[in-house]
Amino acid sequence: MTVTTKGNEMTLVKIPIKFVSIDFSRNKFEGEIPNAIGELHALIGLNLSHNRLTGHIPQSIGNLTYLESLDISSNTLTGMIPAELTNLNFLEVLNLSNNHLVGKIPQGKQFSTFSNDSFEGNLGLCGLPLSMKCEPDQHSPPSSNKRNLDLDGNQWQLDMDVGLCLEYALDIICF
Amino acid sequence: MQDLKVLVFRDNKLHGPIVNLKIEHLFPSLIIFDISGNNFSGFLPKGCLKNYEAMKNVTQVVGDRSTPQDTQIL
Repeated sequence: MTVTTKGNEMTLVKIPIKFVSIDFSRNKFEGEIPNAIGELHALIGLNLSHNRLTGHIPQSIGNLTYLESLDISSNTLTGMIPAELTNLNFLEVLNLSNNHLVGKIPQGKQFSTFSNDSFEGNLGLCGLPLSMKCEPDQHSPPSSNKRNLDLDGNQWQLDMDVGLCLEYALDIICF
Repeated sequence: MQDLKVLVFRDNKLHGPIVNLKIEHLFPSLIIFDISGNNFSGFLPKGCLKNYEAMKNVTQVVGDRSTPQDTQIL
């Protein structure tokens, strides 16, 4: 059986029982991505790319904690990237390219591992890893988990804040 | 269809919307659903997603990722 996962086509002779995936790519599906997708907690692969999907990326995708590959590229999705996606600790491949997403790309955690390719073709996105810098009034989307950060999370937030301060300081020195 | 685990229709010329059938527990064992590369249209089948019980059940399908269950095959 041939399947596509993490952007690669592969032939499975036997199917691992943990291989849970949905691939609706390369069709003409329209409308929004249903929130109910976030109930499929065992998913490791989700590919909805190359359709005509509209609306926002549902925050509920952040509930798919086993997800290793998320490809929703080449649609007409709008809005900001939910900060909840940074919590997907097993996410190895992320492709949000060629949509109409806007705002600051969430930073840190798993998102530190993704390159330009994951986000290109969204003219309204800014912040690392893209070279497009954000305007001061462009913020990350609010995270509903922010109040529940554990000690490590707080430490990470602190590191990020220090990092941002350094970045601003360097900007001031440079200019 | 209670035991169907893998459904792959990829790269055909199937078309039209996927209707939300009012059948409860349709494909409760499905873990791979691949209909890529067709001409399906309409909205994503929201109602169907709710029926994929095996895709919701982490303990049953994924198992403990550090145990030999990891290598279990269909």
